Amino acid sequence: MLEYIKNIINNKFYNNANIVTSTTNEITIDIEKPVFIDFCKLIKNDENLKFDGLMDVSGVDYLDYGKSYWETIDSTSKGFSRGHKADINYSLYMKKRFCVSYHLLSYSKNKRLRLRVFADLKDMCVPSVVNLWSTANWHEREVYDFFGIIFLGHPNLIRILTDYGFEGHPLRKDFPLTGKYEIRYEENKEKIIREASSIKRIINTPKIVRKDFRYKK
Amino acid sequence: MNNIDNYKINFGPQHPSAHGVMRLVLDLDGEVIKKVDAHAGLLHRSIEKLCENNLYNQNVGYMDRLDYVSMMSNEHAYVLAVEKLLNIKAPIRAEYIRTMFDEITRLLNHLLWLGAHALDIGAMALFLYCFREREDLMDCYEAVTGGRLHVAYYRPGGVYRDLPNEMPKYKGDNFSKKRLDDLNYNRSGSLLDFISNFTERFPKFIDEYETLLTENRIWKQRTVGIGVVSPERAINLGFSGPMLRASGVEWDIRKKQPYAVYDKLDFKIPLGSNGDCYDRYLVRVAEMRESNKLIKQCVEWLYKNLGPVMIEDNKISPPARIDMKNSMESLIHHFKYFSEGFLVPEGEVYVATEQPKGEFGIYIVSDGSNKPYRIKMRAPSYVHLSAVDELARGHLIADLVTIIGTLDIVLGDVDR
Amino acid sequence: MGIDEKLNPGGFITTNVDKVINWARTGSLWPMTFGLACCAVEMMQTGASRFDLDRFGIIFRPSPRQSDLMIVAGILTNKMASALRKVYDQMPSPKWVVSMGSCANGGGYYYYSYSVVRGCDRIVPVDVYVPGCPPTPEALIYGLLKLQEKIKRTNSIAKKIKE
Repeated sequence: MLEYIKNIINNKFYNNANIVTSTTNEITIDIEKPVFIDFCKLIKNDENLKFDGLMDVSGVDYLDYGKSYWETIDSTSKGFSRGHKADINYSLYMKKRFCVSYHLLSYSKNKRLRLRVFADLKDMCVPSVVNLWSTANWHEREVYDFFGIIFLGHPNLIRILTDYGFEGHPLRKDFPLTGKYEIRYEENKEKIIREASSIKRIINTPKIVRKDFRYKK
Repeated sequence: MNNIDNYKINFGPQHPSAHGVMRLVLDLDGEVIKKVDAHAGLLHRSIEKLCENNLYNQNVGYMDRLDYVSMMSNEHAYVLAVEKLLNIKAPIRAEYIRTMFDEITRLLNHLLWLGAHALDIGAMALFLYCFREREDLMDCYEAVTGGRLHVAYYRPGGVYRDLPNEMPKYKGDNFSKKRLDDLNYNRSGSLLDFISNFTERFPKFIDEYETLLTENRIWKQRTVGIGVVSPERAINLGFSGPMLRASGVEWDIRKKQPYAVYDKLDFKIPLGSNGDCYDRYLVRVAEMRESNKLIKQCVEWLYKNLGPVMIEDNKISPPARIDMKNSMESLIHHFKYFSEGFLVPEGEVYVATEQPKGEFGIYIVSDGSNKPYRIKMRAPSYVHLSAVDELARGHLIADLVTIIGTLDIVLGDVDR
Repeated sequence: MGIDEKLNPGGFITTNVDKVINWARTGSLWPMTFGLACCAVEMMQTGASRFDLDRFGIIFRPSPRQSDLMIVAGILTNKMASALRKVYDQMPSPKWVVSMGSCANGGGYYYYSYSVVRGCDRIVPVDVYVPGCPPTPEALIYGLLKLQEKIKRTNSIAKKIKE
């Protein structure tokens, strides 16, 4: 199947799509936004591919990719000693900050595929696939809720999992884990009020990135 | 002229038959439903963001609490995803233990589903029968880990510890010796003896449930023809598991893309034909019988073959507690393992398992560090709940209760 | 038999009105099902056949207007908090609240999350806290018995006469 897809990409979508194969035997295809819908229509209807099941749509924020927290002032006054800094090359990811991953499944051919579309803070719109796979409705609402990526052509793009009247996009890396507000019931006013969040996350296990010789590619 | 508008009603978060906290805003024309607007997110705990702040081995506890009626299946998907990134494989005895507990979890889930669904429709006696069986299965969970509901038993690289040689027994001063012997008749051996005794008794219980419901005229009137889904529509809506198989689509991850030891065991996949609530009921009851057979085969294998249950790689598995208390090197290893964890190489992976409700997928993006960079859980209940609008249009409110029951929703899974 | 001995001399027994009221209240605590998350499953197991709650007089009522106890079982999120307060206000007094599980006690496993209320006692006043994740049915029954003891210590008639 990999050869078949490579042929399709070389014939029609040259310069707009890029195949990434990984150590885990999965196929990932990076698509540019202008040709995304055409590519999806092709792989859904093609007789040899027939990817008629969309399993998952998820967003990823690559802001902190590969950064470690050894010199954090939250744990000791001088940070950790004996720490190493990462030196992995992340040039592809640092060009664009957000990515939307689509996981597709072909029930008849028993194959899985992953598509990735990249977006940036200046250009947060991605075409929606609701007309091809109806299940994308709620998945895209969730990606909008958590990351702020706008899907063009979606019938009902509003918040789904966060609170009514929530501001901000929680799963971005610059949104704090403890949030901006917390709530309690005020007896005098007889209603629920919002106050600024008063707790701070204590980091017990810092994030480190280290080169491990056993996983050299 | 008077305009007749639709009446909006709130099938609110606190409701005796909404399975957890979920708000449905219904547009009604008399008693007939015109539109259903499902509000999820009333149990949103942001487990995905919390998992990004914890080590890989600390996240197993969060996976239990996603779909809190089928605990170990969620852990299985996560552990398989981490193992795939690390490129390791658990020992064969651990895989058989995992398969056996996956099927025990499937029984737990389907029994609670059957009890709650029948209770909503009005058959209240079945609730107590199903929960009596669940007590025995929770005793299995308790014997192997100490916890009844949330266990954190599977770890990347195997399972935490091997099966015990004795079962906890009934004790007490108020019981006579004869009564105590009657209560403990199946607990005198090891855990495997208890489970094999359970598998011998269980088909008779399923026969009891079927006698109550399958040929019952009232049950059939409440469930036949309700919530019909055609196979093409089911595939387009992203259904999986019993919802898909009841419409006639032959898709089961345990047969098509097997994991653990499902390719070595012998079992069948039940399929439905009409795609309505009655077919889904029949498919799930037949799955319970197949799970029983699977557990029996696993128990036979586990009796004969002993072996390790955790891989030998010391970077990924912690040392034994006795070594940790006696030797300095083991103490240092224990400290380093639980404060720094193990490092997972860079990459992305998506692993899907056949959870009792459908396809449960975990998508991990790793940047080479000791914490996951992004975890996404693809929950089957989320996808099934999004289809309630299409399934319920044109039905009555009482049918809506049947449809919510048959979708087999657990709000911990929907809201994560 | 105990009551025959007490009745025999005159044919009447004396007691406090408060004690009779409290005996009636503790003997038939009717909780409202407010199962939010995983603790709800353990609450259902407590009501089922092995650890029966009906022998204590506890019957689960679906409506807040017909119940006098609310067992908050599970994690309370920001989105759900207003519904919880509304349901609590709809219960007629005297009413009690049992907070079940570490998530309802004080945020629990999800303490650091942005969408979680760190303890249901920020919204409703709580009488008994039952710890555990989830608490075993034995623990929940122990908590309910402690609530019964607490109710037996309250004075409803005597308090009014004093003031």
